[in-house]
Amino acid sequence: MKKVFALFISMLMMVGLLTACSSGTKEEKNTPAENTETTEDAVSDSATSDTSSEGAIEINMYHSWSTDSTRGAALDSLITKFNKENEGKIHINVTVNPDFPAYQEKVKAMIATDTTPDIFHYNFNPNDLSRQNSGKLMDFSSYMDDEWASRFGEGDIETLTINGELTSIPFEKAGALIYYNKELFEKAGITEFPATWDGVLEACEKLKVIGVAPFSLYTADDAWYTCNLLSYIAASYAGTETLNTGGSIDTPEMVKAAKFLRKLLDYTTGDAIGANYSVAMNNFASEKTAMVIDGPWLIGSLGEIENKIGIASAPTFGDGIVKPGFTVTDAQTPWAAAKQDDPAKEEAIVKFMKFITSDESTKQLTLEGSVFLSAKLTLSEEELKNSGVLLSQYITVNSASAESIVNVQRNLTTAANAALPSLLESLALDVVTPEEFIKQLSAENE
Amino acid sequence: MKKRQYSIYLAPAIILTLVFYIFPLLYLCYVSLFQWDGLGPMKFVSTQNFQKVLADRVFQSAFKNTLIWILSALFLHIPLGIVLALMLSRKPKGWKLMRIMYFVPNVISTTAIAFLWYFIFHVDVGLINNVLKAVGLGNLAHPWLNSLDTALISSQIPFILYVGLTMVIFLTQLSTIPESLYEAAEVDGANGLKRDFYISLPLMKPAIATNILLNTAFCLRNFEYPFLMTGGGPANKTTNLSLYIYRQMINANKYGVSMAAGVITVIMGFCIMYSVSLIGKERKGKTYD
Repeated sequence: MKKVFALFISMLMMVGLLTACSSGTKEEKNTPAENTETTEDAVSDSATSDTSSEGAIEINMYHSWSTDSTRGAALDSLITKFNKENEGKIHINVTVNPDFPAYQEKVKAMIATDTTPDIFHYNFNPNDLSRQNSGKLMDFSSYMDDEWASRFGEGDIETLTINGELTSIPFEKAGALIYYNKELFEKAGITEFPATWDGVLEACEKLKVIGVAPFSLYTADDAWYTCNLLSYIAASYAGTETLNTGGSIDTPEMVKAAKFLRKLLDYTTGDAIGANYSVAMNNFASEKTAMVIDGPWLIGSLGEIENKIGIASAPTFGDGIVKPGFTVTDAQTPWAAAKQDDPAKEEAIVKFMKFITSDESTKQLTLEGSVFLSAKLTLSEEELKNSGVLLSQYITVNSASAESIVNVQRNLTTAANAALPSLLESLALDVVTPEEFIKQLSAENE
Repeated sequence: MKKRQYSIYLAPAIILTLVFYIFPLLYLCYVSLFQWDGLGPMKFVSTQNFQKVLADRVFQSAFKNTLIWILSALFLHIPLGIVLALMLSRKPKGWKLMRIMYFVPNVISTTAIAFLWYFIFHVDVGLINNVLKAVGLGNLAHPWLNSLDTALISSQIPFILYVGLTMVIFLTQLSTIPESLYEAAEVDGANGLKRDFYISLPLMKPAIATNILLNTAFCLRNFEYPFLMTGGGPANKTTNLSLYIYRQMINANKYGVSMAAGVITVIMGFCIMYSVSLIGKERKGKTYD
């Protein structure tokens, strides 16, 4: 009797499992009229998604901007608009994976397994052209006429053209600027943001006295905040031109920058070692720290304290090597697409790319999503004024920048980037000296 | 039974082993001889990946940390399991409830446990540091998971403490020991500790061998605790072989190097398992002769 009962229960569970699986499949296939956003890390197979039952060309888009962020919401609204405008002809299905480092690895795995998403974005790295060299990406060069090309920043198209093929469309390219908490600065007796790095050190001491950790930094994942700081210091020592030309990072200026970074690593939170972006960002948003170097997307997370926040020009060493107010920009995050067999689908992808990089879309993404794009932005005085306390500050500081460099980590090889978190931790914990830090990073970069 | 019948019964197991174990293992060995970023073409580099791996300080650290995990299993986790099993075998009041309580963590996912302990040890919001501050011992608060001195042992604590499965295996073995042996020992005047040392422990040797095998295997493939609690840091202080393999493949895109490290881990695992099984067999023979 027990055996029969056990068998019955097992069968019941099996039926339940199968039912759940089949209903899940149904839900994914029942695409509503608007863009379908799946937050699970689902793989969309470009080969199996040509046309829907209504005859519309189905395009599977994979990106990392979740709709609970301002930029994700702005992008989502544009995709919805595109789907409505092209109802019955083209339909964009969206899958979101908000964990950007994991997302990037997933995209690589998808390319490797011939399940490249129809459209996706990624961090462009001239030292990691594995995606471009895979031969699985669509070439936009025949569609890139003068009119479309004129939409983008100078040199962006050239940068993304690899071996004569334009496999990416310029999209996001934002400056990582210094945000500081004016109220905490005032409490510490600092009246204005320091113009020199020595002034920053003095400010850090004063902030420490009132029990505030001066900098939000982290070492896990891509250690981006810490690398932004390193990039600013390195540019202050070496000048933007030297760093922008690439080459070896084992230079006296980089060693000096590592030494200065080591000093500043004493002015961060106790959880910086091992923390990731969200921990460090929340430390700033919850006023545990007084400074952070982040992109415009941070603005959306500072709603409650936005009136306390200022955006500062970068300090220098006052020696004229860099122009005051220079900026560090993050890597280009362009769009790319899977190579298509169907010309109609290829044209549909191009149509969407033109739509998303149009003047109107660029304006909407910047004003609603606080996203800065490679595509040119034209704002009236009034639009700038109405863009919000922080966004208008950001635009002002960013546009006043006389020169800029790309974050140093974006020009490192994948192997060097993988070694960077543990090397930064070693530097912070004095396991390696600044000289050893640069030497080991340089060795990984070769 | 005819040979043909044997073959029919064995065929599914052999096919599954070939497809899901032998073939991937051979493929692992094959890829370890190539330089490959996972996307482009593979370039044959002979044993260069193995040389790179063996010369890599991070691999050496990962190897050492994996050995420390195995030692913690042998000298902390398993002895704790033995002590608890011996205590519960005496059936004190509430022993059934305690047995369940000790076993419960084994049915919770390692991920959940790792996160739980991450927040216990967290430098700011962690239970330990906040309790220390609350009782006036704030000066003892410490970045447990971020410090070079305490990160490794802190990430091992959940594994060392959660001995439910190990304990149950020991309890099962203890239940097979005839009561008459204990009665005879009592007549001879043996007290509780002597009973444990001269009767229980010698007869628990097969279970000890089993637990050594199971826990060594766990330590070799352990991934969640270092990945979720410390991310392998600080400064690779808690990186183990599984995490090293993952990092080389996923973060550094060095598939060949990752596979070479995998091959070394498989060989290391095989050697340890074989040694343990030999010791187990030898002791088993001695016990029951």
